[in-house]
Amino acid sequence: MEQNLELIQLFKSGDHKTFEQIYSDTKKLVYNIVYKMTLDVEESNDIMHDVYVKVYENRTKYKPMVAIKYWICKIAVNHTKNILKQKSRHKKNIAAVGFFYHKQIVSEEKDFSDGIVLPILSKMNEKYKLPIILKDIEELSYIEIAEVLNIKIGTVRSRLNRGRKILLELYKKKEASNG
Amino acid sequence: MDKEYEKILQDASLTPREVPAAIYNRVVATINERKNVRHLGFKDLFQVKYLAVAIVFVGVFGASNLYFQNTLSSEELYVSQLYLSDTSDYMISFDSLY
Repeated sequence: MEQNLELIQLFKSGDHKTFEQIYSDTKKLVYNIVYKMTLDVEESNDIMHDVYVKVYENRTKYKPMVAIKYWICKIAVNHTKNILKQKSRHKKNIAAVGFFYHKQIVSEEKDFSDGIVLPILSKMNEKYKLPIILKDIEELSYIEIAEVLNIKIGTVRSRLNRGRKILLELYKKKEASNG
Repeated sequence: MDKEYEKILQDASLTPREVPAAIYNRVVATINERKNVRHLGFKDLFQVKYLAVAIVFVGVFGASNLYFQNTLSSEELYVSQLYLSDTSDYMISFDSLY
């Protein structure tokens, strides 16, 4: 999507058609990033809803120095991180209540019949997982990733290299255990 | 990127997912819903209901103020009762105590 100043002005003024256009241009990228972070369709749908409501409500705060696509990605990544933090805190609280809930927590774990990489990726540390999702899966550039994650390009590169190595190791281990 | 890693990226679990169509309608519905919730502005304070509440408040406050201004305190009540009795003035004069 090209950064069109007229489009941005219309978006900032609250024009619904422009907002719809921006939504349809960015939805796939944002949804796939969110899904790969949460691994939950229902949660991803809710987060998508929240993110685009936030985007609309904060439209006047947008500065065209960054492409709108990456501004939305940044909002999505931060919102998803917050949701995941809340969720893990909630799980810890439930686990503290007693072991009766253990079964319920275990049943929430996802079952992937198609492919093994995403479940492996989900177990990785967030700081290595996110650059892999953004660079290797969603094909963003280093500059764009640095903008979305609010880190330096050098940090993106080093985290990506480290993350790739970890992913490869875990994948090999998984394949060996599957026989 | 080595070939082994490239093979990983071809995994079926990494294929892009389609976005459910219903999300946009939900987003628009929420935006419209929030637009309809009006925030209270300065002009809104002059609505009849708020003016009525203000008048009632001032009325109650004024009436209670008037009531307490015209009601004798316990000391005043005591003195007034003494005056009403047959006690002579000099007997209730506080100056005479000294």
